[in-house]
Amino acid sequence: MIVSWAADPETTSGSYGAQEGTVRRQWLKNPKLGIKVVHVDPYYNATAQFLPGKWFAPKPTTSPAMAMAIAYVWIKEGLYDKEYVKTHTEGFDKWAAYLTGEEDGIAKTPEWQEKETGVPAKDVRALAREWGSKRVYLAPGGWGNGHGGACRNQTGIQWARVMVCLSAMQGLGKPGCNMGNLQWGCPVDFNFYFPGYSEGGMSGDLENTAMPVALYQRMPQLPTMNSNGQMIPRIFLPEAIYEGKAEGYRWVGKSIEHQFGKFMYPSPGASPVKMLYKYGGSILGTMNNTNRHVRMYQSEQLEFVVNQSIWFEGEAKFADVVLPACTNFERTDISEWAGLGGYGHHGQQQLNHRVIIFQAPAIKPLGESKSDYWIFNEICKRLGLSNYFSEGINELDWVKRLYLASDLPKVISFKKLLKRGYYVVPAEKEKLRAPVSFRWFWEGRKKDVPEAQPLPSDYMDEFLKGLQTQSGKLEFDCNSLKRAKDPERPPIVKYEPSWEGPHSPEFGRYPLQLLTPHSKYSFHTQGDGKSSFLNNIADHRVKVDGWYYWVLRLNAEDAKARGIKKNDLVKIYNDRGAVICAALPTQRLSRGVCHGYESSAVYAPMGEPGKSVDRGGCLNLLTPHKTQTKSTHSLAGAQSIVQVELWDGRIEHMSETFAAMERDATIKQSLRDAHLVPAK
Amino acid sequence: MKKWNMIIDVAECTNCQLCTLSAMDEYVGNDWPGYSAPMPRHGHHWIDIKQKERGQAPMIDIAFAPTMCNHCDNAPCLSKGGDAVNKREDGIVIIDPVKAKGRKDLVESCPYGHIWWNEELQLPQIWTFDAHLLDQGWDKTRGHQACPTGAMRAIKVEDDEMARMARDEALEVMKPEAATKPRVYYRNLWRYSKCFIGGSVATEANGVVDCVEGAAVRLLKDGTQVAATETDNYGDFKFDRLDEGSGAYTVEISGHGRKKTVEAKLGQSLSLGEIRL
Repeated sequence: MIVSWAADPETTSGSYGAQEGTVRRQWLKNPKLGIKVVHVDPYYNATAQFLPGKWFAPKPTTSPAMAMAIAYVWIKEGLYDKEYVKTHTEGFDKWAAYLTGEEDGIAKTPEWQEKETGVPAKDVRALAREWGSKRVYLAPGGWGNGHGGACRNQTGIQWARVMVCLSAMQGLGKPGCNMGNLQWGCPVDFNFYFPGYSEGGMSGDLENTAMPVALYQRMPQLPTMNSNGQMIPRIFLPEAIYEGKAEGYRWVGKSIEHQFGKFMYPSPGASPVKMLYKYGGSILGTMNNTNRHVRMYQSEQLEFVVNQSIWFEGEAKFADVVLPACTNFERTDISEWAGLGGYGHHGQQQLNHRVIIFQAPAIKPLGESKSDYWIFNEICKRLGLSNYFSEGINELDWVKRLYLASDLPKVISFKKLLKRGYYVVPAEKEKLRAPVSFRWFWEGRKKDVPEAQPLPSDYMDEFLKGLQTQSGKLEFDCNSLKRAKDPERPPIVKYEPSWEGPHSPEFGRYPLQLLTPHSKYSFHTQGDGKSSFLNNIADHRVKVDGWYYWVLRLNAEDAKARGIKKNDLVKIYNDRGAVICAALPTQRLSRGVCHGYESSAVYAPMGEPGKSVDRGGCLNLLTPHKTQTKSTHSLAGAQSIVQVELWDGRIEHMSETFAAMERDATIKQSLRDAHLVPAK
Repeated sequence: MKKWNMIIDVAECTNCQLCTLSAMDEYVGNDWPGYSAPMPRHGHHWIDIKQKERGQAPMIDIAFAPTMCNHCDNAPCLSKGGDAVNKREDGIVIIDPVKAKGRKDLVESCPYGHIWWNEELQLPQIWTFDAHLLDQGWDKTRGHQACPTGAMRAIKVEDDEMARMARDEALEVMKPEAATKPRVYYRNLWRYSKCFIGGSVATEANGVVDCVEGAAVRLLKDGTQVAATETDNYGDFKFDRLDEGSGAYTVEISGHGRKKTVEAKLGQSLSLGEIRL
């Protein structure tokens, strides 16, 4: 059986994998295999549609409670691998004491979780019994072992941890017991080197890219990165600008401890930021609570904004100067599909074939647009830095340099690659293919799968022996968290309801939970808006009175109670902002839940930005920017509470960000009027 | 003479829209003289995926059915169109992009709504089965090529062979009552066209409610049994492939030595929710 838990690879493409995993998941539909699939997701997602099976619909952010009730049933009915728990894990008894109520007097029963999740206790018990008596692949998140899904809402850390706990109780690595949803793990050739996108290409940035891992040694280049080193977390960029301070945590995959590495803005000795050079216009659609970013762009503290972009969309319109860049169809480049580099090791294993492409320009750049390289080089010329930036070579030369840095020269000449346009990397020979994940762990051998991490210094025992944890085992009672002393992340995972949800004081005013997952037909802001073909897909945008509105799905009964019919224009709002969408009543959501993709490319405030409704569809105007825990970087914006009503045509809507700004201005003005502060 | 047909498996379509996007890619802004004038950038759906959501949360399913010009052998547009509409020897219908100018009347003739009116060019337009590509030697259509699940397959076979396949594999066409002899066939069309009655059986013992597995469930119409099944480990049962709007049914459940009868009126698919034995 496969338990798909907040996993929708048919929508999210794993990540960057298009429909490559679909054909493999289709195998599961062969009745001869007898593999059942069940789905746990507040939304009856595209993967549930494709692979029919029982659907469990917990309220958003609550499913860690459901998982704990499953573990509770396993404990009470002896439906877990006790031997594995004894030999391969640590601290189980402490977690079990929490689940049975020994610790806090509350047994985490199926009946207990029902109050939180809305999923009938009987169904959870039946699932626990079936799961506990079968070999099960657990598929959490888009990859089947993480990335996206429920880990992006307020209880995401709890969810990620409890998923691992469930796997640990059933014997992770045992034949048939693992994590995955057939998205990752294709036997492509992992030894053939071609750099991925996070490896920095020709950026000259040794510090903030994965370049030092493998690319720099093969393609030395001049260090053209910003040497200042001051950083601002993108989600807190607005506070950095208009409040003058921000703090964040770097994402460094080198070790567990790096997640606690705090950085501050302003960093000691550094200048405050006065100018923003922004590439593209994706922030308002992809960050959280983005009326803050709207305010930032209007702030007097931000004196100058340049936007270099292919499209005049999103926040590009807030720039003082727009530098029109051409598309990748109009310039020369070289790339590999789904190659992520440092962000996700061996991302190409989502593909059925690794394909490396030489991108010849299909047409000359349209209008006044120029290639990014040309734009940067022209700026560098004026700074007297052209030779330093370009190293005296053109775009095609850089393509050749990257070609030479890769393993391509071993298999195809540059001329032939240019002529043919692509190279398909053959699969590895069968006997060289990577073994099953975690099988080594179950069998007690040294690690034998091709993964770079953990690095040697992160093993407590011998190199390749055991996991990255301090005990080398799966830890229910986490040693690293005992050290970290994070009240929001206790050493054993406990259920703590979301700070934005049915327990919020504002839930009376905003009684609907909004899910904002990654979009199915566009990717981030790519492909959306700009009069693209995607506008013709009714599940993406709907044309009403000449405008293409973003689609908001809501439970059919909730819609009916509000007098909302299909394609009616609705106002979805909370204190953070308001967006006008086209309604799609559906049974794919339980009552109280609505769903609209994040990542609209179109930002179209109908009146004054920050004080009016947006009909572009930027649902991230409504999502919270607070992190899951204060002790590390952890976005929580995939769920928010909102109200939805038929739109009355009014365009005014004051966001709390702008209300606060006006309040501050009034206070300052009255202080000035009272001569308590000197006028400027 | 082998002719072109399309076979679509409704159970395998994921609504990925790659067929609709490849049709736009092929026809928007591209003139294929003798076959088709350019498709407008917006407003036309030469390939259009219809969808059917069945049941009530959480017992639901969703089916997608890609639709397009059916290239009917007995097409009303053919009889009405005169020399503006032609049937090729390989079965493909072409609306002549020159001779059909101004023929808005053809749009209404199609019972499938798949003749699209191009206001700018004053032209009725259809998806041409990518005939311009097939004539260049392509062995499949763009939609077939792009489909990640094999749900859409264009095949060129003798009419006898196609009729045999349709019979053996229970293929259906849309709106058979229109008697237009479509060349587009569907597998598992019931997922789109039929409906179900389902429910979840539970029982209470010692204050604990549990799913009832293995309860016998009978479906009766006018007192006669039309189907029988058993509940699964979630207590769920489902009677599928019923006709929409087929009216009153009785669901009879027996298990744990108890019996329960539920009356249901079927319009669209119906989940009866939890039924307590």
